[in-house]
Amino acid sequence: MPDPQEFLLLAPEILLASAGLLLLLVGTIGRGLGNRHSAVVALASLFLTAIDLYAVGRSVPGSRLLFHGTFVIDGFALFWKSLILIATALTILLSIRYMEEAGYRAGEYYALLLLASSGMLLMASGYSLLTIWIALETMALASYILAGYFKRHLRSNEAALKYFILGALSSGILLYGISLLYGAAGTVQLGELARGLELARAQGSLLVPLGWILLSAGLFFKVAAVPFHIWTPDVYVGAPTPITAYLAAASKAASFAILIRIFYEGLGTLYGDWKWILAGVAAASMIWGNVAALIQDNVKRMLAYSSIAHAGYVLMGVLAASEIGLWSVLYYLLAYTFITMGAFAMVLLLERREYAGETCADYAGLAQRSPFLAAMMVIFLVALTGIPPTGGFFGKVYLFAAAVQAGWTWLAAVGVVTSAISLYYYFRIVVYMYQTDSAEATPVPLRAPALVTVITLCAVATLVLGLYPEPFIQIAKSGLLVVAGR
Amino acid sequence: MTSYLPILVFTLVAVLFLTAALLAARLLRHAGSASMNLEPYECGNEALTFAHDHRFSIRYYLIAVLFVIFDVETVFLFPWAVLFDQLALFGFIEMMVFLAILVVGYVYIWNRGALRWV
Amino acid sequence: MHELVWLIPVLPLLGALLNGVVLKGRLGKNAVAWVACGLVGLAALLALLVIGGYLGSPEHAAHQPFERDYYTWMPAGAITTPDGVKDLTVSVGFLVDPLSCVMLFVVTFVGFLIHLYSVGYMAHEDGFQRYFTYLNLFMGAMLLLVLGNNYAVLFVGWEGVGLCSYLLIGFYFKQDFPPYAGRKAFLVNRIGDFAFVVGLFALVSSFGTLKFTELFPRIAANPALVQGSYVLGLSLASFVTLCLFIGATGKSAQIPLFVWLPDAMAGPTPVSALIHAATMVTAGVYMVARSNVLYQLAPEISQLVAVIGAATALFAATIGLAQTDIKKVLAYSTVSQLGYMFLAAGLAAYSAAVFHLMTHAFFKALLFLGSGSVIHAMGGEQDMRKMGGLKAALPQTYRTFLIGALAIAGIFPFAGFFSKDEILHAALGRGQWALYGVGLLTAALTAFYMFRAVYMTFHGSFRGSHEQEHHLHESPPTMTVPLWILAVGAVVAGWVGFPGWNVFEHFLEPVILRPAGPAEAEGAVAGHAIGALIPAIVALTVAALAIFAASRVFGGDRGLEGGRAWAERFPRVHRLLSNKYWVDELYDATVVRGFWATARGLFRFDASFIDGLLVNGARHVTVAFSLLSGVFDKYVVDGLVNLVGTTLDAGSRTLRRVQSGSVGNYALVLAMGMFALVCLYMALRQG
Repeated sequence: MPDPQEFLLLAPEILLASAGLLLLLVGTIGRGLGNRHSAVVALASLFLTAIDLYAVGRSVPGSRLLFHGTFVIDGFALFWKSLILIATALTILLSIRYMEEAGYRAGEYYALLLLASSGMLLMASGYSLLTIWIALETMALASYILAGYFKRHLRSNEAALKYFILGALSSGILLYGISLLYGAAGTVQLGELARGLELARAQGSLLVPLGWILLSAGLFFKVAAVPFHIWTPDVYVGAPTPITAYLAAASKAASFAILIRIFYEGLGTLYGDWKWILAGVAAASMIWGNVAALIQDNVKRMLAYSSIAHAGYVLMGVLAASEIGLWSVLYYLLAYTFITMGAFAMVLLLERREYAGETCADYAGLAQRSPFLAAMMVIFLVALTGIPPTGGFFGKVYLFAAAVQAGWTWLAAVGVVTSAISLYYYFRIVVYMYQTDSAEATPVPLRAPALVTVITLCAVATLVLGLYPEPFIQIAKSGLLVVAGR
Repeated sequence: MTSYLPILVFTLVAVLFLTAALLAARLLRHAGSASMNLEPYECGNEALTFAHDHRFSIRYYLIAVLFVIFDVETVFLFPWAVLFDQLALFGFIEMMVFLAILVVGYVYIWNRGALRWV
Repeated sequence: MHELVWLIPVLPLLGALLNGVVLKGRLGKNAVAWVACGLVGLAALLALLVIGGYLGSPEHAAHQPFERDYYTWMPAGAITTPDGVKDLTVSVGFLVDPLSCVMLFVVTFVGFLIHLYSVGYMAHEDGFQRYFTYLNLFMGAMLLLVLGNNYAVLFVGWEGVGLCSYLLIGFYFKQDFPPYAGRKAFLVNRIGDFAFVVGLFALVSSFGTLKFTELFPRIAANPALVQGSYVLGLSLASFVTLCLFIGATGKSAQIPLFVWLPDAMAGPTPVSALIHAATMVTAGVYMVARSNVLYQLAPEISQLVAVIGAATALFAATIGLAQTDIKKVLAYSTVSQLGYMFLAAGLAAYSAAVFHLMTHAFFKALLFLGSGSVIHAMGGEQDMRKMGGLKAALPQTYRTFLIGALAIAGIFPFAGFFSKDEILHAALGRGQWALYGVGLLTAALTAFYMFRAVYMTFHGSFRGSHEQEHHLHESPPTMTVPLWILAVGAVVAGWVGFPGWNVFEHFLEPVILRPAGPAEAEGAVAGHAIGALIPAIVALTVAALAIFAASRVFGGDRGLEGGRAWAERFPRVHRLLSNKYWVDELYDATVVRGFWATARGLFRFDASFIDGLLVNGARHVTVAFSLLSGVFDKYVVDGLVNLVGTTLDAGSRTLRRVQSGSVGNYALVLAMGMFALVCLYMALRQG
């Protein structure tokens, strides 16, 4: 029987899940809570969770294994959890006005967001392949529904169905990989897995490569890396835009958390085997994502491909498997969360009715209509390209530096070249905004104060990360992991 | 390898049982009136159209899905009941939490009207 | 109190933010003026408090600077330098020492007065808010420049003032010339900045730091560090100082990069006063004075600095003789005076250079503002040939302008006398007779052309149109009050350097580090051997003679006659001077034409080779590739499905029906991806 004390350390996850369930229940009583009230409840519970998380972080110096080694609390987990909470809170802020205008029931929406986030928190802390898988499914199932939340919209339905079918497939592959690894090593606990796999590999077990390749295929699917990215554009375009932002930021962050944890701690002893796979996938993602984005006219679709490319950049840092590699990954995803949230918030602001206002041409003349918004968008695009003085710049610099230091110069070269390519499609929007005349002369109505707040906040964060990266690097350095067996 | 023996036995038993049951049915069943047996409803109701070019009411699916969910979840109760003594109070609380979550889901679908057939 | 130094640049930047972004278009002119001037005024007040606080602090008593790092800006990671691996971090930090105190005082004080003046001057202009936004932004950048405790922050300020200079020169962007002048300033400065950055790189790669308080004491204690051969036969000190000096020639308008400054007069006159006379253009002098340790260890570069400075001083002064635009006269005079400062800096008389910088800031700002007042009264007319006799209409302006002219001419007891004397004295003391001669000649020319301007503008009879004459009026108090305050400054600012008393030199002493070893400055002591009185009297006499000559030629009722007579007597010289030695034309014919020719050549190369083969080729490849990946699903995957469908027999038709939807295709891609991973693993696994 586990020590009841350990449940206290699980309190943030429990709290968030309970809040989700509560919101679900309350939403069905009578006419339920309104959109705004649900959102406030959700934000409040996120806030409480954050406080709780802080308390947990304070009470656990270093790292601690819980529940027979299936759950871990360390700096790495705390970093991702904080990031996930921030991303979720931003998503809720993005959603308020959107849900109001869409006219769907809101209670379940926020409840599902909270449940998905509780799954993500568990992912960040999972230390056994099964815990991680259950947590992943918690996140994924909620995400499928969220992607299809606009059930009267064809594209939303399509997105949900594709996401669900392919997600289920990938989960199956992942689970298959886990079972093979279990067969080879006799354990699913990451720490023991590393040792077990080393032994099994030495004996020439075929289960080992098959197992980890299947496992990594499932993980690559979740982070949307080529060639497992195929679902991304359709789902990103079809899902309600706040959910797209959520998938691109929070879901991606949580998936990277488990990817890094599994590769470093569970498969660390196989580094010599998986480094080539990771390199290939990273290079393919950078090339494919950036090249395919070139011809996209829909901004959401373009951002989807760009998110694939960014997965490639991050994988490059993971591959470096060094201290600088890891903290640059964490720093990059921290910056990326704000950048991508801000960019999607801009998309959201310009969307009208159903899916109108999403093409590049809809950004024409924005600089004349709403100079402030145009400037904000420029900040995000500049950051996505990786130009100073934004967080995206330092993120990329450190990632490339880590890759070069670890001897992956050719990969860094691919990264630099594809970044240069990305300049073209990001700045196409800038050209539209500043050099084309708009059909309309009226300023974009600033529909929701929350939305404008998010945009401003994200822009400020992006700039601060670029002008004063030091404290954030320290934060990222608090979440370092060691590659097992190195 | 010996640890997999029960599985082998289990598989063999399953195959044998199925074969035996189907064989027995074939041998024992009443021959004839095949057309009647192929009707969707053997109770005598006339089927209006064929199943594959006509859609069932969505409610069938909903009820079926809900049934499957709650049915599968109750499976967890069996091992718990078997080991109830050893799991003691902790196990009891755990199961109650599990059931509470299940009940939340139940209350939710109830309140949302998923159980109403109208 | 001096802990608050960080607030000084923040206040004007806040003003720029308020006027330029937050409250853009929402404030009336009055409110804009209050915000802009108020915040700069506060900064000036705070600067005084900070200087006071520092002077009373134990650091100052111990001849130590006060320094604060506020945050790490770029944690650049480990870099390899000749003395081991260093963790290079560039922080944003400020340094308060006597030198930055002087600059702080000049910048905030003069800056504040010019802000005040601008309220009146710009009252009837469009873009009032834009103007003050830029002006505040400039103040913020300039303060960063003088307060930064390392070269990186200095460079941020350096580029920041460059940007503001560009924006303000092109302030009247609806006319043709100002935007061109702005671009010219920007481009010419880029040349200098490039060298500047190269110099900084050399410093970073050798020492792993850009911080003044880490670099200079270390170098001063061990000069061998920078005296070994570095590159192209130059020592490190020589290379770095040469690069930095090229940067300074751009910013401070020295030969050969001075051409932008006269054109920069296209901006509003208060801008010329603030940026192109008192503060920004002196940044180069400040930087050389700041880097004095390096310059002392690079005697040949110092000599070059002195020669270039002297040459610029003389060259620009001669051009000033023949200009008819009142602002152009002042512009060339600024170039000339900056040359003076570099002459001093090159002679290792850094305190003299900074001293002249300070006095010059007062009297040149005064002269520019005075000219602004004249132009204001003349309804935008800048040609002195159409002025004359303004003494009566603009008494306040006349008196203050006269004070400024006396100051720049070096008449006792005005400020210019003391600082100029200091410089000539330094040249003499170091035995540089040629430089002394050039300096003296320049002083005479300066006095001459300044009084030429005074006579042409204020004396004689009015030569403008009737309308202009009718319109003549003294400027409002927001303009005349700053004039008077600056006039007081132009008189008393020199007294701190009273020969023999020399408070100023002692004050700056802690900043001028003397490197150890035989390179000890020898002239400083020798200088006092020659009596200080005789050169002063010589200079004074020369200036007085020059003024007398000017009054003979241009004074009284002669109007333009005297000047015309001289021009006719030496037509070639006059043509040479009034055309500014054709330097612009020379640059146009060589640099600009050459640049265009190269550009055209490259363009042809581009069009034929790069565009034809590479870019278009790459574009086709890229487009093809992206189309390929876009249609990948449609054709390749479907094709594969078809392949599967045809190779397998009729039973696979069921499969095809399942896969006809794109989701199925996607799933197939996933499967293929997995297959690819396995293949990759098989191909690349080790052992």
